Amino acid sequence: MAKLKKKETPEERSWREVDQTVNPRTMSASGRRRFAFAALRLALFGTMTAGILWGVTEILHTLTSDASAMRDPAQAAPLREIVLINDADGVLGQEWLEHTLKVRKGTPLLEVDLCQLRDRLLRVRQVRAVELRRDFPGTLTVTLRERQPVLRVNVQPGNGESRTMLVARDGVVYDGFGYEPSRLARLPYLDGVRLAHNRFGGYQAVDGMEDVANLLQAAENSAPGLYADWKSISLARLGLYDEIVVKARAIPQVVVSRKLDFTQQLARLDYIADYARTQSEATVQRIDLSLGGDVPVSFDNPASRLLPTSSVKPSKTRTSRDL
Amino acid sequence: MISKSRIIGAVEIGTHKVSVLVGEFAGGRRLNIVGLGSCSSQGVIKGSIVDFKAASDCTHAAIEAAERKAGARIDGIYLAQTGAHLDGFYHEGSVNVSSTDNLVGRQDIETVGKLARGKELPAERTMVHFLRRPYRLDGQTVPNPEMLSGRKLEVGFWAVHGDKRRISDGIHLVNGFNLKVDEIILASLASGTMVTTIEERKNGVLVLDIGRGTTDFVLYREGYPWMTGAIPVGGDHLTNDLALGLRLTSGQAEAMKLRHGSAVITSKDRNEKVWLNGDFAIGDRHFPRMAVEQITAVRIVELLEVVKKKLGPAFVPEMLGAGVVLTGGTSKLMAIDEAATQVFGLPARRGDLPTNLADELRDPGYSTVLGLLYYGLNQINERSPIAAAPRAQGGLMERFTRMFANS
Repeated sequence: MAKLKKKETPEERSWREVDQTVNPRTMSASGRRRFAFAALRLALFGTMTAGILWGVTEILHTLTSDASAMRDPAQAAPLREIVLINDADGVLGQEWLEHTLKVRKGTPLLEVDLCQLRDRLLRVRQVRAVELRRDFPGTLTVTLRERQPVLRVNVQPGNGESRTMLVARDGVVYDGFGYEPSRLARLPYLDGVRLAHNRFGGYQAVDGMEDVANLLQAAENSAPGLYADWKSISLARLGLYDEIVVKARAIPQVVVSRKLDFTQQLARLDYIADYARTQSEATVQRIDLSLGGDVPVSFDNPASRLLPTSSVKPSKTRTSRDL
Repeated sequence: MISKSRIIGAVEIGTHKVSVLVGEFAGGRRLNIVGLGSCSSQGVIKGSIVDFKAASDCTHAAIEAAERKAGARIDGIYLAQTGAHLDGFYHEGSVNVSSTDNLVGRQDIETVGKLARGKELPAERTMVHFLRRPYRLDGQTVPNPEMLSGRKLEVGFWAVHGDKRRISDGIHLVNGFNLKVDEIILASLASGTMVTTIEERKNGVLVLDIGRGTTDFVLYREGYPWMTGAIPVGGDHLTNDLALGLRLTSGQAEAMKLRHGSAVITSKDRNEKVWLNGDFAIGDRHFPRMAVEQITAVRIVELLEVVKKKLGPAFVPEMLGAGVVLTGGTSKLMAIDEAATQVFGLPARRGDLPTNLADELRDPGYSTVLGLLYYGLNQINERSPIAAAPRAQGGLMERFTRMFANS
């Protein structure tokens, strides 16, 4: 059964119940214009109101904010720990780092001057590269890349006392810190080079060390017995003749060319040295590997020569082919 | 202190013209008329909208002109309502005073009012006004029965209702200009408020607002609007009769009515002629004055008789001490007051508009729109002080938006 509609009283059926929502269809052109203007005005008013409110909020915020309170987050995060991340073959340790950085624990982390600390670390020439990072809430992380020593060098700074410094692959001369003495004892000395001072009181980098480092690395890897016998490396002939002169305990002078393959030269050297040791009582004085296939070898005891000295010059008659 | 004001537009969509007045209600107690706009009416016949777009265009143009002249944006509209679709009925209620000491309380007044307004409406009708008549306490008329002693409280309302669709049309037409209708006021009530004084209304007065398409009337007794009504007869009928009787075009007949029409026959000489244009040019013709006057007089008397008949028993000449007041565009017809006197048997006069109005507003054709503003102001003052005050929450925003509107 249909529901009976509730009767409305006259008051409930007043003209005021007529829906007065603006219907676009009933609008004339002037009505649309007025509507658009009203909408624009409303938008403008809204924008102005929002702008004023934002301005008031900003002013209130500025007035109520204490500048010292703004430092609270930084103060709430003091430096608690310095973490060192080093290369696998790095020797600089935590103690050295903290001593070098000279940063007190408890200093607000945001107040730590990373640039200054970076400069402080790079001033130690053993350090090749450094990266510092704040890890909140209280950690300063330092990542180091160290130079590795290739040679030792004796220097006399001027006070008459000589001291041993280290030379890296890139030619940088530095005071080594933290290395095992046995490791340093294995390093040959640098010879035949005149070290020049730089403007920071240290020494200028040595040219040609890249080739020397490659030679030493090849020797250490392929002929460790030979390498262990090397006392010094002279670069006196490097600039003019591209020759590296190695002084060993057993052989006083071995000439190596940087233009030839180091591994092949070392193989010949090893062979010649072995052969000479087993076949002759004479002591080899000089082996010149810079000529390629022909390797002149000089001996110190003419009596023990295998061939008469009058017939041939040693270098000519006793080459590696002869041997 | 910044005074609060509200800009109201009074709109009368008449058969002849659309009139818009812009009034500023300052502090809810003072009215300043700040703008006027009018436009020849289109799409309106006998007070009813028959062509929405045409009526919308001319109404919006009039509102726009009034706003421009006022230099302010209208906040709300008071809309005059007329037309033959309007009707009214009287209904009263009575209650026995509830308190033991027989003092009338607010609850009694509310209850009797609710009873008196409770009569159901016919379908598709909507209420326009409830016009309260005076309270009667034990048969004695009292303006305010509260705290008076008595046993039976009675009150009656003249309920004015109209066709829902016709009323909606007028509202939607205004809404189309992005404005809301704040009040709908009967045209007769508006003009009645304007052309009569409180004293006259207390003494009893009949106000006739004779427009081009409709005639609205309101009968005041004891200071209250006793009865209202509208008939779909106006000045246009006089024009039509003249056009038919004298074989004139509508425009010529209108001109003839305005220049030579009369509500009573004044001419004694059958041979007295009046010229159509008066310029003696080709096409200018002359007609017997008596014929012109006879046509207009007969029609106007007929119109007045219809009004008298509609009033029925409510029309008691003895209760109308202030007589009959005529207003509206057609009230400018010559000797119409004499005709009204003859028909109603009461002294009749044309309604005077306040002398402090601008000259262009002192035309009887503007009595309705003027009355809309004055009636609105009176209504506001009659309400509670809270209601009388302008919308407090909108004050700042309105001031802000008006700043843009005025720029």
